[in-house]
Amino acid sequence: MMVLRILTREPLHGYALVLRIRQASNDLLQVEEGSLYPALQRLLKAGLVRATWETSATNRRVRVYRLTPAGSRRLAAEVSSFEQMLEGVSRVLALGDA
Amino acid sequence: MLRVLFRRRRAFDDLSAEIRAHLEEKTDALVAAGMSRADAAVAARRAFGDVTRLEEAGRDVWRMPTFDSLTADLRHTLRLVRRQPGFAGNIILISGLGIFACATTFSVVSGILLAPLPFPRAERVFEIGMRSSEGFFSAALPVDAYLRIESGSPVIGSITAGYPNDVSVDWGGEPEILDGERVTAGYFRVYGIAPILGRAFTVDEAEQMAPVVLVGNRLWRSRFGSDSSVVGRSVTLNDTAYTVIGVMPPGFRAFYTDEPGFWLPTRVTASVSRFGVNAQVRLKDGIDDRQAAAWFSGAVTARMGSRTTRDSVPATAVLVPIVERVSGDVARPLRILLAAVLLVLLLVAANVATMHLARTAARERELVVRRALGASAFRQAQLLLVESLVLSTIGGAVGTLAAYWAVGGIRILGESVLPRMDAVSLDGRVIAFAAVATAFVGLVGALVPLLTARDRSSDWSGGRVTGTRTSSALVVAQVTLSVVLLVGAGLLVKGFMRVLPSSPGFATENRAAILVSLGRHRDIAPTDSLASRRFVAAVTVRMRAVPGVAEVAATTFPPFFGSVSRSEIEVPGQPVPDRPFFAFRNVVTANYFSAMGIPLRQGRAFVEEDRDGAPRVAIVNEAAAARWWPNEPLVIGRQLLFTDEQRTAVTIVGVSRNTRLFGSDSRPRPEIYLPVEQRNPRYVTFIARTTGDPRLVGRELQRAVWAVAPRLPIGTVSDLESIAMRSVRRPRFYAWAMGAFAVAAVALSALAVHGLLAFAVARQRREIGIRLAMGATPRRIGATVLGRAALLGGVGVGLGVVLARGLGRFMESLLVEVTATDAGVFVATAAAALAVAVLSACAPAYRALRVDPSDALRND
Repeated sequence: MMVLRILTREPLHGYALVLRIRQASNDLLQVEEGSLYPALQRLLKAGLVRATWETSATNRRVRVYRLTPAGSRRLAAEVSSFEQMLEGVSRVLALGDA
Repeated sequence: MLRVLFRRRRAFDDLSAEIRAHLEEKTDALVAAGMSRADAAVAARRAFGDVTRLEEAGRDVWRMPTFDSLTADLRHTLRLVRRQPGFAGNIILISGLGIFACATTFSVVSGILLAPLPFPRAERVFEIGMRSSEGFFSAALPVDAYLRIESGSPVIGSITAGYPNDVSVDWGGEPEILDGERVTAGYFRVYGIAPILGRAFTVDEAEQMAPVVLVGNRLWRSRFGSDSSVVGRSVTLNDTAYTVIGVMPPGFRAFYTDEPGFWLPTRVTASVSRFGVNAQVRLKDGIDDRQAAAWFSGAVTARMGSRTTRDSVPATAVLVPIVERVSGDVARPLRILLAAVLLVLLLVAANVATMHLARTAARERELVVRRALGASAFRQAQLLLVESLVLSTIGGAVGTLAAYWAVGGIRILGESVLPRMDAVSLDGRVIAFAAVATAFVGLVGALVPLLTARDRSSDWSGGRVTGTRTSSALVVAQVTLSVVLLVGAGLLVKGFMRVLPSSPGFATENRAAILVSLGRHRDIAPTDSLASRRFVAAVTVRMRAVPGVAEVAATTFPPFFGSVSRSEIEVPGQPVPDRPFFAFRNVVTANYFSAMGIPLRQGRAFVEEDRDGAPRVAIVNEAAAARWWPNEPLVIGRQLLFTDEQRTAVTIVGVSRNTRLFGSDSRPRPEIYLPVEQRNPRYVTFIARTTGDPRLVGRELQRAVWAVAPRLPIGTVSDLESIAMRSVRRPRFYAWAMGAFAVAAVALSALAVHGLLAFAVARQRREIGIRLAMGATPRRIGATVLGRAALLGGVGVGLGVVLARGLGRFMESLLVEVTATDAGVFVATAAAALAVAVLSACAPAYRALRVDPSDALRND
């Protein structure tokens, strides 16, 4: 979900994605950089992202991932269900306050 | 599938390149931050994690797990074929044999019984026959009955009548006699066919019996060179110029085994066909066959009852589906053969399962190690299933291919034995059947070890020989099946022997026979008995002069030729019974009995003095004497009256031994022989006793006839021996096929017994070693092994005999020749099967004897 969200802003390649995730989470998420790739493969297979080989700003051949329309829809759905969950949680908390 | 694989391959490459790029970028970044390149590379890798594992995890996303493990298993199996060619080869060979037998048998059965007849909506076409109140069926419909049905029936769509009518064709040289068929104009409407060239007969042509002819497709191809300009050409048939008006479609023969050469038009009148006609109907649309049958049995009985028939037994018209006329008499035996081949398939499956079971037991350790390394039970089952299916599929493919060749041969060889051989082929239906059979063998081969494995998974550590009970059960099942098949084959062979004309009551070797019909002789009037007799005498003299001919006799109805004449007789001094006596009658020359090797039991043969004007004499066979004068030892001098011949009286001068009249019917029938010199022989078969091969003098015998009557159309010369064998060709074919199945079955069960015991001996080497070390004699060890074989064989034989009794009764109900309770067959079969079981244990027993105790105990 995080990958999809980051990709909504701009298409990125793997290394850049790793840097962006680390940035976004303020270096809190310390995971192996490589574990991103199996996740990307799953997204590719599910058709939520697509990938093209392009030349990066540093003049390197990189594989750039973009969100597909299906990916956007999925993200929207997941975000809303996440928000619903959050809403549910805060109501329960509110009940406890009452 | 290929596209998926291709895409996958690219995805893998992309992933690798991407990871490499990631590592390089990171390294560059670290170098830029001031690290040395070597340290940077290591750090980049550390941060990335385990490249191989992650790359693999990335690839896993793309995998189709079942498919990939399937290909792995497939590769494993193919490796197995290379590494253990013995095991794989055995399974391929045995399943191949089983599928071969199944595919071949099924293609014959499917072609003859399942393939549609070569005319449209054949299920609406019926033959009209007569069934007497005693259940005797005759395909000959009396002409007046036919005419009445034809003139007005509410159930008939179209109707036709016909009769076989041999025609002589003058090809410009010596005349040849070919099969012909006379039919009415309705023939083409009933069968729903049309000539492929030219046109069918018109109603007028049929009524006038016009000199027009349709050529059979096979004859058209063989004698007219498939020439389409044949229509309009003239051919000389029976000395008359006929115009060819068309060519029949290929493979069309109605219900005849052989395709007629010519179709000729006919009308139906009492004078044209004295013996009745073969009539077929196509039912009117909307009439079902039960309504039609009811109408026929009602309408035709009433009329026949009012008429005095020679055969005064009341009879009713019955409808017989045309398919039954085509293949009805082979349907039952073929179904039995199909059932037998399915038993063979069952046996093959059991055999293959035994082999897989033994192998699974042998590599139990490998399987347990795989399990310990994390192979799931499902994965393991899949491996076994793939192995078994691949091997049986290879076998099935080989077997089907072999069946393809065999079917080609059977089509040619079976032509004269079974109907509709042209419809027999290895078609899609057969291949589907073979595929199902293959899958069955493969599944059984895998499932048996799997189900056995489930039971023992817990106590593997015990190290006992597992799966033995299942193996034993399978071996017993195989012995049982082989006994059932063996008994079935034994009963069929015995039935075949019973009809085998080994002792037909006359000599068959070195006897040539040629039929001459005087009806075709234009200079001899039908009533001129003197000329007929003179002709017979003249031809006899000519034939006797042929080198290699020792004696020549003549007869009107030689045994085994299929045609007979029946006469109704009365015995003076005895009350006329409710049913008149019937006898087969035969007009013969004086030397017939000596030429045929038929001994006389009483009295004398005919002599020269038994001529016209002398007292009329006859010779009867033993069956006739016993039936008409049951309590009289001597019947010479007794008289008989032919009630259908102005009550002519004849005096018995001799009694001959019974002969067999029909090949497949061994019951003695009452027969009366009359001398040629007191009769008017119209159909004569000359029998020449030869000193050598009777086929060598065939041409000379024909020339002897033509020397007396130039250009008289006659048939070809045959010999009694091959005719006698031809009469039993079907029982012989069934017996051969069943025998082959039984031999295969016994071989398989012997293999199974051998395999099981060899395996057991190998596994129990240590135990045997200990026993020997403890003082058991080798003899005892051997006896144990053989005893086990006897036990397996005994149980199998016992079960087999019980089951075979059921099969025997089933076969008896279907085939007249078979007797279900043939103790001889059962005892012989049981003994043979048991002997085979014990014999096949000899090799393992010998190996058990040779176990060296110290060796066996050391190496385990």
